[in-house]
Amino acid sequence: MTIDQALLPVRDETTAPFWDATLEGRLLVQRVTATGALQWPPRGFARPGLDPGIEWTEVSGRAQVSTFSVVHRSSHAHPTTPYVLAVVELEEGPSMLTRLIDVDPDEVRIGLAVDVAYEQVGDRIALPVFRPRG
Amino acid sequence: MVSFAGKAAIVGAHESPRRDAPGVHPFEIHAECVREALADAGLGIEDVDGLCTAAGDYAEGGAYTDVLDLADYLGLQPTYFDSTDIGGGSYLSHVGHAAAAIASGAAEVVVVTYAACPRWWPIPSPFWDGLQWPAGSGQFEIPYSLSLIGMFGMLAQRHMHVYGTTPEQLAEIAVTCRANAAHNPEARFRDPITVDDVLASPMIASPLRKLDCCVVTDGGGAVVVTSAERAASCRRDPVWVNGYGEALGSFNLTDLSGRLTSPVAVSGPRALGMAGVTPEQIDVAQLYDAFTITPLIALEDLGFCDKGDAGPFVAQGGIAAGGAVPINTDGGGLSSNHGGRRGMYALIEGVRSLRGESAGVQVPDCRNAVVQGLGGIMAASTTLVLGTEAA
Repeated sequence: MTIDQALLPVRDETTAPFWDATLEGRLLVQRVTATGALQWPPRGFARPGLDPGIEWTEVSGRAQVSTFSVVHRSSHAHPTTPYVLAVVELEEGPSMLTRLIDVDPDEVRIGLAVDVAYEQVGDRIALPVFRPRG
Repeated sequence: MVSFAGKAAIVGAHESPRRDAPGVHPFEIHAECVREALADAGLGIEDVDGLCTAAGDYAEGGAYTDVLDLADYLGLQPTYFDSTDIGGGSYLSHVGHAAAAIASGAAEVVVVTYAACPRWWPIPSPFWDGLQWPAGSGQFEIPYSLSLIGMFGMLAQRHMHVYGTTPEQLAEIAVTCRANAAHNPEARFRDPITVDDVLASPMIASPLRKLDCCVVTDGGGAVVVTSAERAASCRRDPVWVNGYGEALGSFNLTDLSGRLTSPVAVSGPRALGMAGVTPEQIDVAQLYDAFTITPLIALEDLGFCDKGDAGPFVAQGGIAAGGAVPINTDGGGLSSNHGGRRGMYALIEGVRSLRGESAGVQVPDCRNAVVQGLGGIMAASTTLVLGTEAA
């Protein structure tokens, strides 16, 4: 699928490892070195202490829907409606904002089990999205 | 904390009657509102030493140095100014900051002003219907085609899941606001609606339907804040700034499901505590209502009902005229006016309620009012407690 080029993620020094991994079909989040806590979205430091001790770790891509909205009308330049915005909670803990694909909007429920998939939206960007498991 | 409760008052207010202003630059509406708010107070432009606005969002005419641009346009050289921008409730923070500045002697007559013309504004928003760029943490949100209503829809969906809130209960808020708007000749929509009407309106972003969403209007408003000493010689009885609280919460949406308790739960108790009043002593609440879910959560976090109980509270008439805490007596953003930032209009209706001059439904013997501002996806909160007597 294509998206408005103006919406493409702006990779930076901090986030480049994440986007590099998605091109290989791997989903990364951050782990705080000192505590082992997982962190999302990525930053160059750990909250709340601004400690620079942070590392990347691969997660399973298995998640469940914690909330969603089926968008029927939007001023946004999205190519197709309806589409499903969602927040999913990864099995490992962190939550991510995402879009659900390959799903009947009427069938989406909080608690739905989903797995990560990737949409190529630019030469260097594979956007993680989620689809129902099974 | 040194309290400035009751040290400053709102002595002038003006809401533009406009709802559609084709071809009018928002700064012209600022001029109209500032002029009329000062006239209401019995003051002139020469008395003003402070100017506050947030005028850099879509259809507001300004850019990132908005207060500088507007001050020059109006011909003011203020020595106190504030362009704090935390979204739709920014103007309430401006009032709180101005009251503190006035109490400290740093300012004496401060104008807080808002205007927007979204119905005709030709320049597209750079913000992609979100509130951030697709960079930094926004690179993990904006590319998903964020829809403003979809974000509030996700919040509402979660509230329904956790607390059993129903679409009918959300709809009741829209019905109440419309019933109030029926009494406001300037409201954008005045014809009564029912819960069934709301549920039959088109789905925009589930579970929010068209009538769960605010109107879009051109317009503006301004208030004048001054010291107790100066207020004594103003034309109108002062409306006292007795309580003020503000708080920032989560901005990114990844933890949206944790936002069912909003920063209103921080700013509300601070404001009520400063004013020395309890929720039971509040006669009217003007609650930021971009969508039905926003006042629903604010009712809980301000302590008008228990957490999770706002649905039944609303369904049982708690917010209607004559209820425990009537809200949005002018019709609110859901029916009267909303230009993108409702905060100023909620504030002005709070002032009118305490003057006995509500634009819609007047609460009898109204002495204490809460005005609740919100910004982002319930990410920022400002609460004001206003009163007819100084705290």
